[in-house]
Amino acid sequence: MISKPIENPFVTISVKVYRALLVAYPAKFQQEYGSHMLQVFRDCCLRAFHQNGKSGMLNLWAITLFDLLRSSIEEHLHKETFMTRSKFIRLSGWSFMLGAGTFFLFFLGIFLDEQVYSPFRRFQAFTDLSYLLFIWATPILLGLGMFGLRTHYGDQVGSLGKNFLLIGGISGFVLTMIGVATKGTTEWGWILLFAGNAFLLLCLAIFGFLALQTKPLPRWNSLPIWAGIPFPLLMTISLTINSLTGQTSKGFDLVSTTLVMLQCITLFILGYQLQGNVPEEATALA
Amino acid sequence: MTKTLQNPEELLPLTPAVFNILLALADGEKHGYGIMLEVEANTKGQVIMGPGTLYGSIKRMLKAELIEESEERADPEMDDQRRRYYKLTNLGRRVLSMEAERLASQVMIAKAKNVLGFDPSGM
Repeated sequence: MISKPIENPFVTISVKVYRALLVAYPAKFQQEYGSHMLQVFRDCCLRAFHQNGKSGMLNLWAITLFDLLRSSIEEHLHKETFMTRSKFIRLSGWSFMLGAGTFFLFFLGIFLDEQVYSPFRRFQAFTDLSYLLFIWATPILLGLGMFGLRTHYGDQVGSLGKNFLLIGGISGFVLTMIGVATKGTTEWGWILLFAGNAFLLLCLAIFGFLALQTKPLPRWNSLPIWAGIPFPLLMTISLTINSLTGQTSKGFDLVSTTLVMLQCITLFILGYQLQGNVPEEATALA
Repeated sequence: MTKTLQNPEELLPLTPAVFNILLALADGEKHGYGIMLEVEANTKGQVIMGPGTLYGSIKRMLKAELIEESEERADPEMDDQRRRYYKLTNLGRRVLSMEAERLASQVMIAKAKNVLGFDPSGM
């Protein structure tokens, strides 16, 4: 150990240069550890100069510059990874909320469209817009939200839950797009349009059931189930009734529409919770 | 909310820097420069950590709850500047022990294969 070190110009200048070089690190890291790094570097300088003079200082600078280059890149990479992940989770939360909004508008559009003899027919343009939103925006927005859920809570729920979120997010969009391409030629096209979103939400509900065991959400762990189950369930009932009675209506009655509206609210809350519960920092040791 | 890894096995194998820092803290708390000296001595100068590697590792080890800070104070054996001290947590001690056992088993394998103490001249 060194007792009462004597400062010399080489050490003083070296410390000043190292202090200036600390700007290579991310600001937060610099703020937290900069003064301690400087203190350690000063101790190293005193020892190097005391033991080997100028050649010791040169050797120390070679080691320090290599260390600075390597560790500053590492700290920036850690910072970048963390930022990307947390930003993505926050973005996916907003995506869920927007997806809930477009889903809500779609059902409002259908409800208004069903009122054939009422003054609501004046809102035909709104109904057409809601169909467009449903076809394009909803599966993309909800799919993105599911990827965010997967990123944030996937590891805590397990690989099965993670895979359902992945499959739901991708296939929901793919099925909907197949529906868009074929709706003009076959009735199955229309069914696929609905089935894509139904499958996406069903996968969300399955994730919800799996998540009940580990409870990864900060509160209301049954939210993904309520956010996922009503629409696929109602669609299954509707298709079964249609096949039994021979009717081809794709509409929903007031009770069904109200249930799906409540589902939209639950989706919105899930998105709100997701964007507000972003992890502060990664814990990897790499 | 930050979720910390609590299963020690998930943290293995450790990087040389993390293992050496944990080992340096095994017999008591130390400040940054003290850790650096101890690592250098333990490895006979083969592992020399710069301040960036040292505090980058410390940051991640604090986050993983392998080590914790104790109060900031001056080191009587050095200058009168105040220094931040670090010590092992229970999790850190368990992880260090498991990593040491893992390395020991590797050494056993090396011994069994006559790799240890190999004389290249064949004498």
